[in-house]
Amino acid sequence: MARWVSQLRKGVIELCVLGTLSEGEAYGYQILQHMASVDGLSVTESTVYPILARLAKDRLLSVRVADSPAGPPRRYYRLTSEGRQRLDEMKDSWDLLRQAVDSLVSGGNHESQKP
Amino acid sequence: MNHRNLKLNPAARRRLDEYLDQVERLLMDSAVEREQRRSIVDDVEGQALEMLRSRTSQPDDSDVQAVIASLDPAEDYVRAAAGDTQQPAGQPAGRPEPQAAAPSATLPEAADGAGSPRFSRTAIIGALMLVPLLFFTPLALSGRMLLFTHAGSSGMMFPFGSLILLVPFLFLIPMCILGVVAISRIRHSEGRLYGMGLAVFDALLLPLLLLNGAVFSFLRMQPLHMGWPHYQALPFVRLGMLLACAALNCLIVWWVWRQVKKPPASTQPGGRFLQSNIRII
Repeated sequence: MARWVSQLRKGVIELCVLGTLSEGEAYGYQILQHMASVDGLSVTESTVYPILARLAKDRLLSVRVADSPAGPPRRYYRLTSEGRQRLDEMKDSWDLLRQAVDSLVSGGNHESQKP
Repeated sequence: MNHRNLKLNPAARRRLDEYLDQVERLLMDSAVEREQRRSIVDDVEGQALEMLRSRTSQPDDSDVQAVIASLDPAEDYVRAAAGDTQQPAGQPAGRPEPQAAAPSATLPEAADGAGSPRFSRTAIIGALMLVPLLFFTPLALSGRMLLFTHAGSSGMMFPFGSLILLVPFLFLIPMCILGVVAISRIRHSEGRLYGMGLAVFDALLLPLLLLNGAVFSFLRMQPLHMGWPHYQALPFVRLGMLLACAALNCLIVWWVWRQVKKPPASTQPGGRFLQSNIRII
């Protein structure tokens, strides 16, 4: 993978984890499968689980361990109020960033701003 | 975590535990906190058992082996826990090819998207403080000699002459501060900065010189003034103190080096997110 792609994915994955959990609580493997199903995101467990652990440590996520209907107990993650606030902040930052990059990459605004 | 609904035979359980232990050991070696380690390992275990359950109701050793081969290598968790989501070199995005887990937990030196890793400028500037030190020391020595020649070593001249010698060493204070700053920046750069050896040298030179200076001053004191009763044993005492001082120097350098090589505690997720993306722009 090109280095710039890897750098771009940094931080964005954290936003995606929080975004996934904004739809409701989910366990680790479920979050991973959901994110892996999105084209272009290309995440694996070694990326997602450390982020989940860090977000839980920072109290942006709460954790609940519960038996599954037919299988091993699962660790369910849920957004806390701080996590939801962080998600909103990150979404705002992402929107600004995307607009800024779009305006530079497309070049349309660049030409129109000339006197 | 106790997974009651899935029966693993002892050999299969042992194989899975070995993989999980390896992940946890590598995380522990990288100073990831216990709570986070347990959380990561529990999630990996949960996933492995779910994958096994989807294969068969009674998985054996070969099933576990196949599932482990499809999971990420243990050292990838270290990289991710340290904040680097870059895939190993030569591997495509997504799941890497199964490979034998290496025993080393060494973090790769990732390059910045804006360029290659570079040497820490702060560490270099800190080291440049040695230049005025080397330049002013002969001047200070000459000035002190001139002072004593013309004014003698009595009265106020002696302490003043000694103070002149200290002036060049004042440059070691900013050198030490810059060294500490360089260490912090290198540790938080996630591989974009290197030069930790020089940064540690900058930071430690002043404290070690002070320590060694104090020991040598003590050794130069006259034994009679010290009230030392065993005059013949003095050379051995001096030698012992020199060896102890050398050992202490090594111990300090080793301890500091171990501390600075540990990954820093995770920063605020939002801050990291913004830092990563601002750097892209």
